[in-house]
Amino acid sequence: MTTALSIPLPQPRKRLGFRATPAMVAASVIAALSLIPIGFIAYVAVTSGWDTVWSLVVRPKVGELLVNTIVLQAIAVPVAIVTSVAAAILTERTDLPGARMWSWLMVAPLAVPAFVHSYAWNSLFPHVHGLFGAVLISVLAYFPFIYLPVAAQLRRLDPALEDTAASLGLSPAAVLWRAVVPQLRLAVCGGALLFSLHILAEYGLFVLMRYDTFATAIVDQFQSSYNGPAANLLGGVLVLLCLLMLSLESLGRGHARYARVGSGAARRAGVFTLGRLRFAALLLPAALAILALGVPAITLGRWLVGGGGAIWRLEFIGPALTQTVLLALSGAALTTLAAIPMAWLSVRSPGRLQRFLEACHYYAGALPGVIIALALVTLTVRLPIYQTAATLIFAYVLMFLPRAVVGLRASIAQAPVELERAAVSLGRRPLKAIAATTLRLAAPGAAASAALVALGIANELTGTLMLSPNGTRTLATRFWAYTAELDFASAAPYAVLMIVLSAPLVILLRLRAERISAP
Amino acid sequence: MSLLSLRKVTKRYGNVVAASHVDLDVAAGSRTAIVGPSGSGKTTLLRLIAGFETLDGGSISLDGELLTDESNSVPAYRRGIGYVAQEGALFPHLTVAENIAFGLSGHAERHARVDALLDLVGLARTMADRRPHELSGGQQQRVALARALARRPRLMLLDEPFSALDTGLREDLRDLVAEVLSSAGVTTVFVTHDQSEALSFADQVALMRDGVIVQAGSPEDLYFRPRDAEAARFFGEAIVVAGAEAGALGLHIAPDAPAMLRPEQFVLSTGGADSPVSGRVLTRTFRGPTCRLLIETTGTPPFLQFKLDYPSATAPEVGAAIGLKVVGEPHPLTAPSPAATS
Repeated sequence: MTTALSIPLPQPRKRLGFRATPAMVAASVIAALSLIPIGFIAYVAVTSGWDTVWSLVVRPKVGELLVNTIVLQAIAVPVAIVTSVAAAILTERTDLPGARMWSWLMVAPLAVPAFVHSYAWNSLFPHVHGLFGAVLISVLAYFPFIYLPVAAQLRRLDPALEDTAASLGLSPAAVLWRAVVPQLRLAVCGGALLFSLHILAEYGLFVLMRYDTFATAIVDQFQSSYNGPAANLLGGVLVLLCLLMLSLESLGRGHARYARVGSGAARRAGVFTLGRLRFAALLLPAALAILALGVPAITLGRWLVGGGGAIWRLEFIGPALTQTVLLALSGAALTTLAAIPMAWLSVRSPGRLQRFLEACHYYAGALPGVIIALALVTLTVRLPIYQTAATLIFAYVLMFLPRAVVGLRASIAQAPVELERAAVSLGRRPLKAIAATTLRLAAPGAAASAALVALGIANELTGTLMLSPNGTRTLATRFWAYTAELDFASAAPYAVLMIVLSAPLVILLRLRAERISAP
Repeated sequence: MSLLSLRKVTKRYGNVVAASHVDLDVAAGSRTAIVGPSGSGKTTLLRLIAGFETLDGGSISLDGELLTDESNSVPAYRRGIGYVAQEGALFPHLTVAENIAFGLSGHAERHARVDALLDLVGLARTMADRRPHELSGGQQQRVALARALARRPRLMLLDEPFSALDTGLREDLRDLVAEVLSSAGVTTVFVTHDQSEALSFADQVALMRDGVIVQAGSPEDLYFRPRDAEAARFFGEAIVVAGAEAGALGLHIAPDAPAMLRPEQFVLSTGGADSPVSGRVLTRTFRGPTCRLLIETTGTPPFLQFKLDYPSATAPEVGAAIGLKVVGEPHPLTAPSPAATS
């Protein structure tokens, strides 16, 4: 009798397959477009023939690039993790003097494009280059990607865990090491992945540091022979490295769940007192601020003062600014539009197919801009859209789609479907109900994520160099052209304009992190 | 002998006084419940004892040793006081066994100790390798208790340990915790906003209101002999009568102070011929085993209204005439309460 009861009753089978809603169709189309770059690399690898692949991939140059890349990652990632975690703990959880100001300064380096960091160091300390320079500038330019999620996680921790650890006999330092730091694993993994992918994709920074990576080699190859199989196959290796990083991250994350168990206490966590170390602890954030903000400020200040009015050649700066703004705004609008179906699906009808489509949206963004550019060049070279603004904007859409999906998803999640249902039950037609509730509530978040995309586009260099139509001169490409001619003074105004344009990015990112971690 | 002594303990957050001149003694091996509505300062008091907060005035000592006063404070990690948070606060990155062994130093007999503690709190040893999120709320609390007991604390503090659990589970776990703590001989102070939990679990109950301990004593004391009307109502239904109202019930009380009766002090008889007080049923709400009756007296004015629970099987209908008799003495209340004057 009991055995009969323990046999599970047959569940009514869910119908396999899915309804082809307009959102589903649109998201599928965009997911398919997102797969173009990776499909292109696969196509190249398959059609090149084994001999070509062997001769182009297995050669000393590739080995050298591989060693360079691995050494760079192996040093820069741990250094960035330790630096960011230490800075986040100091600014978020201790009585560091001026903690709040320092926490803003730790995000501020993001306003300076990586290649401008490089430029600043290059012109102030020309002997800083090679591996040391590459590691230094990578950490300075990109450590906020780890700092931000770690700081947010620190604010979100359940204070009862620390109380409990203290009651179990742990000194404050031991509480920090055994109860707080282990909870940061997920945030560190996510941040480190972002950091590592950015270094893999970075071009300008390493050119100025005279450190060869796959991205710099691909652009070199590309510029010497368009659509050469050499560049494409190097791209294939780079894609493999990106996939390796993605799997390393998921390995590091493991299956453990690090969210707090239960809702936890509503109190804010206490502050660790630094005691006699209070002022010594200032050294870390101060050093980071001086190296990541002070050096660019000094360099730019010097060139601006030295160059005087002569370097502000408005007949060049004006069009570059206009083109940058136009490209950024149209790219952001299109990217946001393309992200809506996916963001909508992932909030409103999550499921297996939706997760697959979402993964497609993200993988394109994880690929370096140089791969996306290579793919689009090859695809469009015989089409009338070759070297047009349309292709360039399409590349931007692929590059920044993940940013837009993440932002939109969060803002659509702010508007629960119950509100729409309430509006319908109060007599609104469905579309009007959506307009009156979800659209209204999601609009500010959508605007913020569109702004993040626009700011990304405004500073994009690699893809723009490879894809832009003749005559296109953005702030980034103008800056790059002057820097290549070692005309550091003429480059300065463009750097200043890019920093000014990026300042809102810092504020947006910082505010978003604060909101996410609000108790 | 008192193990824990609080003397004039005061704590302020800005202008808000969370604890004001609190005196409390906790006997060794006993269980003390601090009860009160939310915001009364009971959790603050617990956190002061644990050492998570510093006090602004007064002193706390444990076993004759000063833990904290205005100028000195033994840090929480040196107090040897166990603490179980509301939802257990298990470390999400550690397994059950690692959580329990968290406060143990050295590796000797670690394994055996964890097993013994799992047995003690009634968890299967096979659970040792699970992660906190794989446990139910009750299991999490058991692990939290085992973790705190692992260090053989002199004093155990429980912060609303059962409040996140379902009613049935709650009583089971309460009984288990009481048994475990008694057999280990650990003195316990726990905070709750649930008066029935306090009455059934504790040897001593301290009622807090607005940062002040209004009354402390045995559970019976607080239930049958509350200090004021508010305290009376906190622990259950109370019928507070004064002056002429007492006369209507045939009671003799001091003219200048109100008195309290618990509903169960009324014996109700249907028909009501030989009862000193007569009344009738105004409403009748069926609640399963009992019915809640709203009664009005019908003898001499003023006519009083109050609620009584009566076995459903024999409960009188609405409008039925009944007789009432009071057993035991009405308890005089001292009014006004200290909270009202401070």
